[in-house]
Amino acid sequence: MTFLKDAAFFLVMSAAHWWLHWSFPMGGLSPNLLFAAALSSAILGGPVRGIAWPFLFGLYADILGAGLAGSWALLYTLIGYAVQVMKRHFDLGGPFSQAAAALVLSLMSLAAYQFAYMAIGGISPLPVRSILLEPAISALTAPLVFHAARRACWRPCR
Amino acid sequence: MNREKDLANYALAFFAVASFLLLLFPSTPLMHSARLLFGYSLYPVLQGSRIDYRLRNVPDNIARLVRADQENLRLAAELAEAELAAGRAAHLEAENARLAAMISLSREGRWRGSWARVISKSPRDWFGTVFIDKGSDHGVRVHATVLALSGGRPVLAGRVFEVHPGFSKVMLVTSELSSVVCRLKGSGHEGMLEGRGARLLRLGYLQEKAAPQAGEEIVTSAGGLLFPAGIPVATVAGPGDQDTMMNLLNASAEPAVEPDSLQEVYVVNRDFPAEIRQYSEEAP
Repeated sequence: MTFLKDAAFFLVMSAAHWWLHWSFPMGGLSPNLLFAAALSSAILGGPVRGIAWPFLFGLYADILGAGLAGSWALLYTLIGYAVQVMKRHFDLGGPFSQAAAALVLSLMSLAAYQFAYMAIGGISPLPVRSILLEPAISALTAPLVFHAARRACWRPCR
Repeated sequence: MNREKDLANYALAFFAVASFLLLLFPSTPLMHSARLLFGYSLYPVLQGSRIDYRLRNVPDNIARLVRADQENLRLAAELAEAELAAGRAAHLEAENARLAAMISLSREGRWRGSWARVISKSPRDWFGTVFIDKGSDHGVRVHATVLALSGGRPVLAGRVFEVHPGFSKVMLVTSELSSVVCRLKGSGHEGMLEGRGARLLRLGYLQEKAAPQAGEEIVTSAGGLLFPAGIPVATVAGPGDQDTMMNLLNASAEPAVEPDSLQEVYVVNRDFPAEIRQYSEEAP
């Protein structure tokens, strides 16, 4: 049952992300719901689910994107793991801490993505404005997605 | 706690390895094609340099497929634009022809007047009145003759009967209140052409020997004073009945102007002699 709820959450967020980017591109600055969903599932899930679902969200981002296949899957897996570590030290149940975690992790993931591309000599497909503004937008979006995910899955924060 | 820690480490190791495998191995054309087609089915928009970037590792046949779809989308958009432009051009062409005919009328110098646009019609008086965008500020006066173009020639549309600073009200020849002294162009017999609040007019007061023929043109008569003589007003639609009381003939007539398609009119002020002006200004 829990898996079905998780799968439904994954499908809904994937569809919402696709719809949002397709209908309201906003110059590439529409909220990254996949990142917010990965973060939320990492906060809500246990050690395995909290890493598995971010990996799947990353995989979906890879399929949609034009970059290196598996790069977002790896970064979102690391985000899931980082959230598991952070949960031991911080309370990520509040919106402020979620926003702070989203800001830091989004910034780090974008920097890592950019760095990976620079290391292999390619040009990153991310526009500069996305790199600069996406962390802030993610920080605003993450608490909302988290709230929706918790209500949808009826699951306390672990 | 340690168990959770271990589980998290195992999960990280497992999914990180899976990600690395994705990064390292599936760089085959098949994988790129599948990824491109799946992504493209969700986001069928590739523009500028993005299309080349996304198609960089894809086999030619798949790339051609995507490029063909992109071109199809672009051409469909262009076709829609072109259809819109063609519709606009046809409209402009029709308006150009109409305006060219108007200019030729203005250049003829037969009447001195000004063009006005029909700005409003009253649904309650569809065949009776229209409003035009010229008024006393533009020199329009009461009882000015209102002409319209029909078939490239000027025909009588009505007369001005209310003048305001910025607009005027025109009584059409089809109005129930309108009556115009006319004559049959062929026989020269005079009669009174009256509006009936509908499309057709009634030509009355014709002598028995006038014998109006269907299609015969009716023009304004010099005896009418209000309108310049010789302007086409209508054509006889059919032989009418006989007024037994007065031994006169009636006939129905079709107006030369189409009241429901009036867009521009030519307003001609007339300089009546003072006596007549006084008389006509008293007229309703």
